[in-house]
Amino acid sequence: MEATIEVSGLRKRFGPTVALDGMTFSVQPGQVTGFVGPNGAGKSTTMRVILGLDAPDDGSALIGGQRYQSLRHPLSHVGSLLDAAALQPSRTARNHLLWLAHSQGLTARRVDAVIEQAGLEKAARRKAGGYSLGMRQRLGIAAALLGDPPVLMFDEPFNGMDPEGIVWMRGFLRSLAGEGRAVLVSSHLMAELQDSADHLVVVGRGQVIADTTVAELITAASGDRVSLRTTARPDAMTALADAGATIAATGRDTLTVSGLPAERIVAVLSGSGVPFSEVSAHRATLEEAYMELTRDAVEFRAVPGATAAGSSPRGSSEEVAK
Amino acid sequence: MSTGTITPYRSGQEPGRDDFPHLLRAEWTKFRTVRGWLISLVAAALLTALAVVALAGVSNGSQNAGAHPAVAIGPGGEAVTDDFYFVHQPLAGNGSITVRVTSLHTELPLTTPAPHIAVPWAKAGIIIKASTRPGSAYAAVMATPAHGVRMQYDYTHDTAGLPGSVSAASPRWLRLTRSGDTITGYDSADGKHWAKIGTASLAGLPPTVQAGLLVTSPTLLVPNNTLSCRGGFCSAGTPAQTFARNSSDAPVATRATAAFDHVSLQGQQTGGAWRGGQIGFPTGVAFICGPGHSCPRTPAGSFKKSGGTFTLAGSGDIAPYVTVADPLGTVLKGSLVGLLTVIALGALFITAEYRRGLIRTTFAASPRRGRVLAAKAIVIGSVTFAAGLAGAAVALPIAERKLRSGGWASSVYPVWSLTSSRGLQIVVGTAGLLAVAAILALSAGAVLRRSAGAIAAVVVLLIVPLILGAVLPQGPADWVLRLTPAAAFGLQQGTPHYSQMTSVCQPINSCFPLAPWEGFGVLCVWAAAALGIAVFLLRRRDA
Repeated sequence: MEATIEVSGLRKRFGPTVALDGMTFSVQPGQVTGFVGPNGAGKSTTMRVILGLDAPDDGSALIGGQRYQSLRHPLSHVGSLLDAAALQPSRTARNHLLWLAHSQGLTARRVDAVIEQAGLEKAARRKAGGYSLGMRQRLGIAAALLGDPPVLMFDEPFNGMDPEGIVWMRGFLRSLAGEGRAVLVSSHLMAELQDSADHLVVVGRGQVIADTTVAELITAASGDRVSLRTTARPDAMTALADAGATIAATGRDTLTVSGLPAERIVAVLSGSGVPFSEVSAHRATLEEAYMELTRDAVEFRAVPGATAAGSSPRGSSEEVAK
Repeated sequence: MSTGTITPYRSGQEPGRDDFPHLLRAEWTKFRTVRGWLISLVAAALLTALAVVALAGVSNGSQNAGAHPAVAIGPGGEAVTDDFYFVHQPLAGNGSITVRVTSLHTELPLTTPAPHIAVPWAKAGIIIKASTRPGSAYAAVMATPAHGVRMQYDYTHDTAGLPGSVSAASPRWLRLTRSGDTITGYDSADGKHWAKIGTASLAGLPPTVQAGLLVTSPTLLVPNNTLSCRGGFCSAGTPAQTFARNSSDAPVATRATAAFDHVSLQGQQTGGAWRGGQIGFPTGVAFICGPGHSCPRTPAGSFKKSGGTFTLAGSGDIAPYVTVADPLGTVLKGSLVGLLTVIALGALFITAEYRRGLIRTTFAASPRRGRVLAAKAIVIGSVTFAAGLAGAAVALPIAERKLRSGGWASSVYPVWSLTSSRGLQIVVGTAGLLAVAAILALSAGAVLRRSAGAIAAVVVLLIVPLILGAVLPQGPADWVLRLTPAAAFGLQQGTPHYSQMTSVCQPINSCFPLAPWEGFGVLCVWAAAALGIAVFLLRRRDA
């Protein structure tokens, strides 16, 4: 069986709400595919449809060409972590894994192996109800690895993890992909995927907005824009607009200009006598690229930029191309 | 980032083939790894035993001592009534007896002339009996006023023959033949065309038996002040008014008179004299009949032979002796405590998964949801069956001992050991009741997805009908207890009930309108239907 996920034309409504509106993408083996989009974009619904938990109104989701429902012992085909809190609180972590293992015809030895893999040896015989969210995420990952599956799916695995856990998780996702597995990781925060995803599926309003590599996405988002720092912002805007540029104010004394190359901007400003201190090619961050893409797809926007809360806007990073 | 060609990953875990045993094992692991559930299961067994024993400890039967003087012991060791007027002669070896019954009427022998009263199970017919000792083995074919011709033997067995009542215009021919231990009954409307009703195998029947004619008419239980007589006809209230036996209900003796002709006895030595006499309790003696009641004097029987016509009058009954009170059945209601516990367990076994979202993990691991529910049902059914079995098996012998020391006479209130068929029925039935109730609760949990709703629904279905059965008039009460899952409580009847006799049957005395295993069948049908709906919805709904 090929280690792929193929989602095509998924549609699903919950009452008046359209959750999935023609969701189509595929996940290839050997790489980490980031599944990003604002809350409510349809990421979790898509994952539930892939796992046969929710029935789509239309479209299909296949694992290595097969419907999930037709898989025998599905955990050796697909491992998943949907909701780390889905645990019986009075059952120990080890016993939670044990019943899952038994349902697949696997043994307790396999349970002990995944406990070690997830770094839960010390806490495995404690009741899961006493676990922190980070530990529950590790337990969920251990459960996903039980059947040693070629396809893995994690829904918001970084939630509740401490910085050390986030670093561990990134390395862990990379190593899973390095073994040739297909790994799909959802997040509503692009920053979390920054150092781990190879491929990105950006979604909003139940549709795929972009299906691309990280490098291509940033190139596309950066465009031919130029950043400009000037103390005479109104004068600069007037002069550049007359020259045919599109200008956006990004700060008290900064502008982003598009439609004119940098040399032409320097010439226009010099010719008009407008002072400026810096002209540089604009380098978009992954976060910006994502914000750009999903601007129209955000479901609830009470305060401008509210969806980005919790993310840390960064300057240009190593990920930025060019 | 990975580079170069990618080798698709292959799982190193190769699970076994057959997955339903895996599912069962997974669900069993789920159950046993929640300590609270294990504790509840043990508590269900302990509470069942403790509650039954505690009820038995306070059950006082001493007031009933001496209330059952007319009891004989039947061939199976059971308490029986064996009172009738018998006109008989010995029959040596194989042979047969044939008569024609031309009339049968019943009356209330209080005044002269005696007014008519309907007695559905009065009997007039022929009988072959091991001896004249009350309680001895017999087989009989008899006409009745309301239930047609019946073949009965050894008190508890009953087979229907020709329907309809007896009159001069529509007489009934009856025949019994003996061949070794086997007695065969026949009836006919014209004495030419005979139909076989059934056969009775009476093990150990002596070479010479008593064969002859019988007439008897059982005592009626009449609610006080509902007996009304007009123009020579009496009636004893309507069934709807007889729903509760209270202290004002009174037993009333009745008498049946029947005429026979074409009497023919075939055998090795026949032609002896017909002798008439009362079998069983002597007539004309008053005895205490239940707490605070004086039973009516048994009216004297009589026999008159005129030409070929025999006219007999008699009172009494040939039937199992059934008491109104069922002390064992009553104390077994203590198992309701355990029942409530397993209902909660059954519901929680699936609603706990809905509450935590764990159901998605379950269905992701096992996408065939019907099989998941089946595995859950088998696991919860098995563990609650085991708990019920343990609780009831411990409780029954202790409760029996306590009832005897509490004054319930073993000659009348049957003793059931764990190895007797009814003792087994009670123990296995209690376990089955708990198990199927837990499966019903599991199904309700799968449908409703909420613990409180599922538990409430099953309690309403199973326990509320018991209360309704006790407070509603008899007619509606019987239907409630036939149609609802509460019918299964009939499994806990300590006193057997028979359709071939009029007896007071109320849920408060652990008597149910359906036979025990039929009642259990009703519960099983409910559970199966709930399970079916649950599977349908599990497949249809998003998890």
